[in-house]
Amino acid sequence: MKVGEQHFRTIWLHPTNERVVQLIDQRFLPHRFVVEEVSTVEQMAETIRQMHVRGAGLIGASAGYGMYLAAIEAGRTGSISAKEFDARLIGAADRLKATRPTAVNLAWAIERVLAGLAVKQTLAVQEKVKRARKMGSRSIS
Amino acid sequence: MDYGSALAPVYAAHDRGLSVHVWVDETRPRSQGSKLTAWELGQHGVRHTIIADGAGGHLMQQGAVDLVMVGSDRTTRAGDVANKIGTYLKALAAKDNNIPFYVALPSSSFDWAIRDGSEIPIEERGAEELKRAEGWRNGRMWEVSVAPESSPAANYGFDVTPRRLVTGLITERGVCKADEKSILELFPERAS
Repeated sequence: MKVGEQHFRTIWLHPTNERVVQLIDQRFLPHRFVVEEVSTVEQMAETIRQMHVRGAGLIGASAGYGMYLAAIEAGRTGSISAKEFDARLIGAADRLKATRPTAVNLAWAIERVLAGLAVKQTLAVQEKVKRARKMGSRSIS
Repeated sequence: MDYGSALAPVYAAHDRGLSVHVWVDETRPRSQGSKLTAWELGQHGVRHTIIADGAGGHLMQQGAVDLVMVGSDRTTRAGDVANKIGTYLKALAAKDNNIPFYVALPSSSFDWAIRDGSEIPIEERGAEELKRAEGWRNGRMWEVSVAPESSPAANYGFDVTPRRLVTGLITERGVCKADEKSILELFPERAS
């Protein structure tokens, strides 16, 4: 979106901290331009449910980034098995999908991340996390 | 998604020098229309006027509307459209006044698994969104009560506009009619 003469993304990965996603908290527009920092999938679920973000496309992208955060977080748990990793991601997916039941874009984005990270498929956890990093950095939209 | 899908065609028209004016629905209860859509249009330099949610039909009768454009949170493969509550009433008014009614959506908003819009789950949100309002004053957000505390409220987030009321769907692949055959001509990989 355009703010002043500048073009802004509505959601993006923190430039130096891969564990943080930044987004425009649209509840405060047009009076204040507030950037919210989200670092857990639980927090992202609340952000979506409480409509800090709106619009089909952005809701889907936010869910995608929520899945990214879940993957990065799970990957930080030392010696997590691939099975455990997958279970954590599926839990995150269910949590995010429940936030806005009518918006199908949300489920679409989540399924895309699950497939992209080879959840329920044989692949080393390191490899799955690497894929999450790649998705996060090129943005999920 | 840096622009909402419904506004993308408006910006495209404006940027090509078409003189566009947008009647912006307030979009209660969270007022995304007056808070966000109006602000975004203003930032982009598009002429616009905020109206109460119920004003659309009157403006259509007065000949003040050439085209209705809405977004979509879910569209079935046959072209039924779930969108923000109140969309269906706009579509009825547009039909009655012979005004084209378009839906702009990203193709990821299609639900290829269903045909009938009645299968779409309709989100119900908390009653407090209707009974309270938020606004800005003296540098901060205030919440005030706007309804009797004792009255119950039902807060439906979406409604379904049947395809017979939809003139066309605007997607990133082009424009098509709101029927399964036309949709599948744009998305042949979804046939079967």
